[in-house]
Amino acid sequence: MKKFILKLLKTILLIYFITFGIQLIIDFYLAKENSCNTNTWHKIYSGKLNTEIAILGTSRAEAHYDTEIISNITDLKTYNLGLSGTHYDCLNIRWKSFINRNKKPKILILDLDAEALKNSKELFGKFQYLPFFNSTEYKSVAKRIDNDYFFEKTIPLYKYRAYEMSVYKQLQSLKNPKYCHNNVNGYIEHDINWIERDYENFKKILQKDKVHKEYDLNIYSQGLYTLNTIIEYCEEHNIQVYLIWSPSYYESHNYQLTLKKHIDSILKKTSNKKHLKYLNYSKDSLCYEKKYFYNSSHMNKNGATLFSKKIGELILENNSNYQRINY
Amino acid sequence: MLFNSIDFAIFLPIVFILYWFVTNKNLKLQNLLIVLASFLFYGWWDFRFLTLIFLSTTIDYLIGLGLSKEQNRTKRKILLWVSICFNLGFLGFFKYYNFFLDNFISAFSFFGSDIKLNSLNIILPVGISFYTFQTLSYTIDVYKRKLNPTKDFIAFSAFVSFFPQLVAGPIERATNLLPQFYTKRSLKYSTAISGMRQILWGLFKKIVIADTCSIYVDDIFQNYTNYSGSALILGAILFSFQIYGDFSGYSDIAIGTSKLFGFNLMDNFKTPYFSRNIAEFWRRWHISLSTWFRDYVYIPLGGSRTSKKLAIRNIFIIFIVSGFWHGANWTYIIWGTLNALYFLPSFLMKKNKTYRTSNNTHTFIPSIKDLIKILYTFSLTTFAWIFFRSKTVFDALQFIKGIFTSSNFFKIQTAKTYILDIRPLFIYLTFFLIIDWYYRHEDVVFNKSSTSKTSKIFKYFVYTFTVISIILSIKNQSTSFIYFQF
Repeated sequence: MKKFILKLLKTILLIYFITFGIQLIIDFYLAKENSCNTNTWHKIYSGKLNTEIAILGTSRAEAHYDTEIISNITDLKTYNLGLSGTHYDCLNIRWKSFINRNKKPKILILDLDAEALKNSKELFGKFQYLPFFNSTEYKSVAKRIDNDYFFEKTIPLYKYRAYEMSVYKQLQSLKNPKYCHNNVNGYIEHDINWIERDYENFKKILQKDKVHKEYDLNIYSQGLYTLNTIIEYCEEHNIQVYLIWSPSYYESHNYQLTLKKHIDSILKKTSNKKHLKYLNYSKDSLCYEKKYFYNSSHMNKNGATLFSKKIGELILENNSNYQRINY
Repeated sequence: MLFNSIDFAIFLPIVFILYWFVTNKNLKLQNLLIVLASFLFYGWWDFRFLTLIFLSTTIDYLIGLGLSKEQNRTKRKILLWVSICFNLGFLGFFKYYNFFLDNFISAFSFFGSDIKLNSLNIILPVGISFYTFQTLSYTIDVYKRKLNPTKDFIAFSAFVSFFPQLVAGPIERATNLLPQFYTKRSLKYSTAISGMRQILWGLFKKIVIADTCSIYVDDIFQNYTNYSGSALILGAILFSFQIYGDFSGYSDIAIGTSKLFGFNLMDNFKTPYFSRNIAEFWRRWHISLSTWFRDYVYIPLGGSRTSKKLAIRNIFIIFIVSGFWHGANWTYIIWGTLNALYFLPSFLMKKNKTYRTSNNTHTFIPSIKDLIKILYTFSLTTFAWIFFRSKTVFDALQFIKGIFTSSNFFKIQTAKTYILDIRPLFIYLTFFLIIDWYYRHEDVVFNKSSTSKTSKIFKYFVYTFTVISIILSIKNQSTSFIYFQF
């Protein structure tokens, strides 16, 4: 019995250390800045993200704010921190890890809508966080949302389960940039036309939405809390905040209308209370033309170009007024 | 409780410690612990069905005692039939009631008269087919005087409800397992190590092979009308691996766990997909059930030592009953019939006993002839699995039709292969086949004795790869075993 238990423990320990070693190696390489220089997380965690304008939001932020255009107009370094599929309660990981390690921005654009402020049910695109799994920012959010956090922390390599090919592709990208996203300072360009199939699917969702009219407003508790903490932090550190509801195709406006009105009124109240700029572009002229969108809630390159110009000019105008007042 | 769950990972060491360090001095206490642990293990699903196991145990125990006292042949026969009716009655009610009712109604409506009978919403108790057959084997063996009935109710309860094999076998014979409850058990180092190896390999088969295959298989079988011929073939092949990984994985964990408690269970699988004909396949697939039917149905019917006509009838009976044992659906009956048809030519040509003793070639690379035979047998079984997996006979026929008539035959993409990358699965399958082939002459995988340093390093490399594959393939929720539904 003693011999068996000793052998068992020895084998378990040996395998534990081997797998732990493999995890460390994978973590190390995945956290590296890859050759196509697009790893925003690497820049954030290594403190290399030096930007004057930061943009935070979901995939809509990621696709709508062309950093080059905004930068050219305002003459300020711009970085898009938008994250696809990530609501504000989880965006807190990105925001906190950014401000805790990097130079603070002068301006923060918060791209908002009813969806972005909903409580998350899971960590979308968890793979991107894994090399930074031990950071306090990840821990504080993951502990609340992710039921697997304990096991992922305890069992080596468990956090990489089902990501075999993602690990392989990321490691490949160190040598070969073809695996990288085509992005410029966090902005991901979508040079594509309207996708009819997505639109049809959306219409089905819209149809169902008409039947279901009751909403639980508690689903916003975490998102709104995060938004308030971000605004308070910016207030303390003298960072100008813009609350922006970027355009979506006009037919999508009726989807979850009650919720949208509710969130819009909250944002109006917050902006009035904190003296922030809140601009709702959901009825902008851009919203009525399919050519500016690739689906009902995301603009394509054409739309993003025009919208980014508007935002750049808004900041420029506002900034010059701001400087004039301060001067 | 599932073998591949956190609950079991906590349960097993606790029972192990109590068994070897607390109750080890008293055999009765150890058996009682097994009964209690088994009831907890089973009750984790639905404690209400514990009454069914308890009832089955009590009745067969009393009938066993009755048989030992009774010398009158007629009375002994009556006692045997009471046990058979009772056990099969339960099984019939829970498993086949709705099937017979539906077919009864269909038959009447076919002849023009409509009858209205309500089918019942019956939950099938997990593992009922397994423990029913196990207790039946006890009564039949006692009746045939092959086994002395036990007077120890605790030992008999432990035999019926022994948790490692309670819900999905191997279906143990009383002659093998019951006497093990009478003698003091000891944990030998080599047995314990072999048990751990078997558990590890069982988990690999279940979590890495079966559960990963199931993602693609479920999608392909549910949406077969959307997919090309090659995708459907892929679905059928992956199901072959899924069901093998799932069931033999369960058996490995069951046998391995039993070894940790000092018990020796019978083998249930012996690398069946390396069989060179169907007869060999059936000697290597679900051995405990095949031999059960052989001993308690086929041989009493006359087996092959009778006229050719009757022998053929017996073959069909045993395969069809075996199919029907799996579930109340015509798909299983067709699956059984297909296997009988596959088996028949070798039986008629008296080749069904070839490869009975000689195992596959001992060289690592098989001969071309063997390889062709293996692939041919695998194709036949895979084809039959289509019926086994499909929900209805119509679905199975449409699936097969899709293989041959679908356009874009070579477009292998499916919704799941589009979202997920199937390449890791192919790597795991290759590893699985290599290991299964390499250790095909051993009772337990990884059991080849190794003395050289290189082979030890190789063994640890294989262990590590196995563990890593398991960790990387764990799904967010523990998935049930396919055979639990039978």
